Amino acid sequence: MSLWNKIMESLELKLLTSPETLKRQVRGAYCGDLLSDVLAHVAPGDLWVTIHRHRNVVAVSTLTNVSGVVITGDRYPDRETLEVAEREAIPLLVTKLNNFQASGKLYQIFSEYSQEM
Amino acid sequence: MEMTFDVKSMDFKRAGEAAGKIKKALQLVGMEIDTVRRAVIVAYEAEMNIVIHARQGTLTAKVHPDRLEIEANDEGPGIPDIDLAFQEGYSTAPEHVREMGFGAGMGLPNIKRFSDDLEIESKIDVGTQLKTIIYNQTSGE
Ligand SMILES: Nc1ncnc2c1ncn2[C@@H]1O[C@H](COP(=O)(O)OP(=O)(O)O)[C@@H](O)[C@H]1O
Ligand SMILES: [Mg+2]
Repeated sequence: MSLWNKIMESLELKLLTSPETLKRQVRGAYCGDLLSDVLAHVAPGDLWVTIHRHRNVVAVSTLTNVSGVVITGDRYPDRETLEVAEREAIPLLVTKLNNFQASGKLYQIFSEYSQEM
Repeated sequence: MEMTFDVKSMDFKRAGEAAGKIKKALQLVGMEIDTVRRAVIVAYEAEMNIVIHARQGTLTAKVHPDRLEIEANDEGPGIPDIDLAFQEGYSTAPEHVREMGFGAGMGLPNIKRFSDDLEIESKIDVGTQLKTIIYNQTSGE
């Protein structure tokens, strides 16, 4: 199973942008709701886990080259944010899990994944 | 190469556009990946400070082979206590802006950390001028 599939299944993610946006490789993950903190600490290819769902999340994602955004707590972005994400090819995914639960699952996936390699 | 972008107060729709254009230009001219990353952080934080704290302003990038200068000039309230403003966690951002994840009081500290040189001048009720230099090199922060 591909890493994306594994993550989608484990976090019960729903992809809101088109499948074509899932083109980047996931290299790790970072969780944060303070944009300055994310900007300074997220690495290219990371999946960004956050509660935010407004369009500035897409701007920060584009600037930092994240592989995608996981919006937690069953929060859905508005139509406008989805349009910007589609245009910038940033995958937006939603989950019912909260930040802690989603990050825990990702942590587990990446510990297993790095052992396999 | 030099480019300047207008930045408007509380325009959260276009926020980050100037930093994004600077990023694209730096990638095009083949600046080091780490230089681009640091420039993006400095440019975005400077742009957001105009959006959130000032009335209007400009973000300028001057690209040289060995370095990059990022400048932010604004008309606005100015910064009464610069040392205080540079303290991590200090922020006067309004509540509705904090709810979006801005206003962590880490913008100026980030600008300082990710640039190699920084000058700031501010006049109360006039505005703020920020000048930073980022050297084009692969190593560290
Ligand atoms: N361009 C500016 N004009 C007026 N005040 C500013 C400006 N930039 C920063 N400040 C002041 O300095 C404080 C700290 O800035 P910063 O570290 O970027 O944190 P934040 O933007 O999250 O509040 C701001 O809350 C504001 O009071
Ligand atoms: Mg700031």
